[in-house]
This record gives sequence, structure tokens and C-alpha cells, in this order.
Amino acid sequence: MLFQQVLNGLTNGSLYALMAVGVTMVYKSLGMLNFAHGDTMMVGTFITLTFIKAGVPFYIAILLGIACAGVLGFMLERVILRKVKFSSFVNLLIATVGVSYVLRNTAMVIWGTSPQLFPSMFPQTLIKIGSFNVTPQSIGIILITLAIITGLHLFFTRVKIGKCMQLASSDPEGAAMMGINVTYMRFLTFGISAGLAAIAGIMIAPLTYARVDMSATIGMKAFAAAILGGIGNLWGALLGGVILGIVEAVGAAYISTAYRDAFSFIILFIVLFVKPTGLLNKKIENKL
Amino acid sequence: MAKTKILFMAAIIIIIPILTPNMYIMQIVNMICIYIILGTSINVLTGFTGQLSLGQAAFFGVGAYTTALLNTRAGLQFIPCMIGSVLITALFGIVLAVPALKVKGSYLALLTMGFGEVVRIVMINWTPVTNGTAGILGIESPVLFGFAFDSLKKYYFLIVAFVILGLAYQNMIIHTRTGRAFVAIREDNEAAELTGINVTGYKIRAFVLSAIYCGMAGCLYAMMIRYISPDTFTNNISSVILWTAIVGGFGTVAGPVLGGIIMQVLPEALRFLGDWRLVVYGVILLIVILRFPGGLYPYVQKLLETVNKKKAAADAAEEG
Repeated sequence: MLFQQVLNGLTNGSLYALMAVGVTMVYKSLGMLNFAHGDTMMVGTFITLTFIKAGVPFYIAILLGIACAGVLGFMLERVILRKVKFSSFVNLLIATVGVSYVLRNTAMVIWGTSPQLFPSMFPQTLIKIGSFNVTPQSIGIILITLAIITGLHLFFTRVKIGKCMQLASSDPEGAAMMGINVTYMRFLTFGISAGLAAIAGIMIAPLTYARVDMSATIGMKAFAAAILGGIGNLWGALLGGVILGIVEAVGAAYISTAYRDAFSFIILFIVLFVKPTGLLNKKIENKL
Repeated sequence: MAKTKILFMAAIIIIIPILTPNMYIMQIVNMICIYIILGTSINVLTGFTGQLSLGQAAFFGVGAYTTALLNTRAGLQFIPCMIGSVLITALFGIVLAVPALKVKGSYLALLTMGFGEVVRIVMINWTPVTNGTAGILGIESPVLFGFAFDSLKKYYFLIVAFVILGLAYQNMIIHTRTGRAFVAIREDNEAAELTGINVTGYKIRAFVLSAIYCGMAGCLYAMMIRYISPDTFTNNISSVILWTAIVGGFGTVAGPVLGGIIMQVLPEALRFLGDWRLVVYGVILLIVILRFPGGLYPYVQKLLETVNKKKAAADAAEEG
């Protein structure tokens, strides 16, 4: 029973981690949370679903969905955030909340509010290990998440453009002096973050159905996971996501299922109150 | 000059219900008034004190639920319900203020948003008290000193009284030591602390004041609609409350009034768009943030000034 719950927690936690990675990347480059992150995920998922229903082959539809979400991320940066950038910080934050509102309500009009079935990319057969049931879905999700985060880590430490992005977000002035186009790097960060969100959404949807209101709860959990692990830190996002997932699954099983979504918020409150820097970060980055 | 202005305002307030042709428009007018109070609540907290909140709907909801429960369960009348709502939301204001003191910027926004979500989850799941998603039915219209505010037009005057009270209090407080402390905290937290302002105390005060405004609005809302459910107090509403103050103009007394009118009238006027009109809220906000940073009120003020100047110039020319 406990093992089963921990496995469920790991599966959900991996998905939260994947979302949290995007949150963390944007926070690092812009110094703020992107409140439209969850909605980007939801829109990416629904676009994929629309492609699938239109008869596009499954894997091509997924790639198209991810690409569309990426474009959405690019547009968010290029069309909205770049224009408010220098007026005020509060305005910048509110602009992302505004984009979130527009995306969510547009999605409600286009795709309706009822949950829709989303095909899974994994086989549905159960694998028995001893007396436990393990779905290929869980294992697939965990492995894909690990692969993506490792890949990102390599991208940011080995590939030239990744290193440039890393530098542009940790030291914008220094990077600009080295001839790195900081604005362009920020633009890329938003696109990649949105693409990751869409990947997470495509894997979440078969578990919970594709629904418009998933953006708010999962977006919040992504923030909670990113902050819990220590914002700006890729492995922190993974750790935070996994802890959050396990606490949620175990809490839902042993305390109350009705308050399942509240657990992550309570963890968030505790982290913000006790150690706002998160588990893996040491010094406070006073970026606002 | 001030006297004629006040008389002019009073005339408008009295004429509005006479001119409104039907209950549908009267309802919109009343909602505008409620949103003016809600906009004022976030104006105090974010506009003056600089503490961004995305969870105002939680206070609004707590105020509405308190009134609904006191009225339907305990059979209390308007005044005790209002006092109850104000006290309970003030308490919630302190509850949110304590963790909020430690964080700022994005984290504060996230914290308040999470607070709003938790309150909503409790509203949905604490069925014995809140009746879950079904909501609370059968809230009575207020009766004050034997006078029943049982129609929307009568109710309008009750709401307007609270709007005037709320705006007057806000206008008063921003010109006192408290108001100046709020602005100092908004402009620079550390500098405010260095000049000897009790930042912690004033921040808590701002949260409580903001919560009280929402509690008032919640009480008025519950007694007007006479039915409440958790669906009314979602994240979307928190956003709309924030938009109300931003579109009008943060940090100005008249901003939320202008914002309340725009944010309530425009979606109704755009009803022919069907469900798309909800999207309009967000689009208005984005336009304002991108094109009119600081809200619309400063622009309206400038426009009025130029008109007045032209008029004065024309008068002078006539006399000369």
C-alpha cells in the first residue's frame, strides 16, 4: 500500500518537476514567476488533443503540440513581456497573470469545460513485481523526466548556446559585455520553458483527463515544487517535485483525499515561512 | 467649488436609479458599486502599500460566507452580519499578513494566490458548514430600522452608502501618518524602516484594512444575490478585482471607481460576443498595462484639465 502510494507520488512528482524546471528557468532569467506557465501547459495539451482528433498521427501531433506551446512561450516574451519590461516590476508580474487569464478563458470558450479523454503514449498492461502493480506509464513518465532534466543539465553546461543562456540569466550585464544577446537568450528561455510545460501536460492528461482547470492547480504545484527545491536550480526542481508528489500521494491516502490539492499549498506556506530559499539553495538571491 | 462638486455627485447618485429602465441594469449598477469597494480594498494593499495580492476573492468569499451563515443559521439581521463579516475577514487578514511579512514580489503574489485556493478548497469540502458546492440558499434581504431593502433599487442606496463611507475613509487615511507610511513602504521597504516607520505594523494594518473592505463587499454581495457558492470566489475573481484597481489607476482614490465602471460595463456591453466576453477582461488589462501604465484615471484627469483650460481660455476671450 505504502509502496504503491510512493510510486504514484514519484510519477506525479516527476510531472511536477518537469513543470517546475520551466518555472525555475524563467525565474532565473527574469527574476519573477511566470504565472501563465500552467496555462501554457494546458493550451499545449489541448492543441495536441485537437491535432490527434483531426487525424494527425499520434507522435507527430505531440511534436506539433510541443512546438505550438513553444511558439506561445516565444510570443508571451516577444509581444507582452518585452513591452512592459522597463516600466515596473509589479506590472510585469501582473502582465503574466493577465496572459494566464486570457489563455484560460479562451481555452474555456474553444474547448469547453468538460474533461476530455487523452490517449496515453504508453501501453496499458500492468507489470507485476512481486505483489505490486506497476504501470508502464509510471515508469515511462519517471524515465522521460529524468532524461529531460539530465539533457537540460548537459545543455546548460556543455552546449555553447546553453552556457550563454545560463550566463545571461545569472549575470545579465556581464553576459552583455561578453557579446551575448541577453534579450534573445531570455526569448529562448521562455520558448524552452513553454515546450517543457507542454511535454508535462501531454503526460499528465492521460492520468487526469485533459481539462481546462488543470492549469491553475498544476501551475501552483509547479511553483511550490520549484520553491521547495530552491528556485533557479534544476536538480532542486526535481527534488521539490518528487517530495511534493510523494507527500501528496501519501497524504491523500492516509489523511484525506478531498484536501489532496491543499497539501501542496500547505507545504508552500511552510517553505515560504521557514526557508524561502528552498532546500538546495544556500544564499538568498534578493531579486524581488 | 467643492460644494457644487458634492451636490453634482449627489445628484448623479440619486438620478441613476430613477433613470435605470430595468432590474437587469440596476443589478449591473449594484455590481459596479460592489466592485468599487473590492477595487478599493486592493488599492489600499497593492496601490498604496505595494503588497501584491492575488487572493482577494478569499476575503470576499469569507465575508460573504460569514454573512450567509449568520443570517441563515443564526437568524441575525444586517448590522450584526456586517459586523461579523468585518471581524472575521479582519482575522483572516492577520492570518495572511503573518506569513506575507516574510516574502515580497513574486513569492507574495504566489502566497496570496495559494491562500485564495486553500480558502476555496475549504469552502468546497467543509460541507457541514458551507454546504459544499451547492452553496447557501435563502439569505434574507436586509431590514434596517423597519425599512426593508427588498428591491435592487432600494438596495442600491444601501450599497452606495457603504461605497461613500469606504471611499471617504480611504481618502482620509491616505492623508494621515498611516497613509504616508503605506506609500513609504511601497516606494522603499528598507528606507521606510530606516526612517523609523514600523513596517511590520503598517503592513499588517494594510492587510487588515484591505480584508475589511472585502468583508464589507462580501456581506453586501451575499445579501443582494441571496445565494452564494464557492464558484463565485475563484482565482478569476481575484484577478478581476486586481484588474479593477489597475485599469482605473493604482494609488488614486478615484481609480477603483473608474475601474469598477469599466470592468463591469464593458463585458455587459460586449454580451453579443457570447463566452468570449470573459476574455475581454484580460485583454482590457493587457492593453492598459502595455499602453497606459499607471491606469486610465491619470489620463482622464489630464483630459479634463485640458478641457477646463480651453474653456477658461474661451471664457477669458469672451470677456476680453
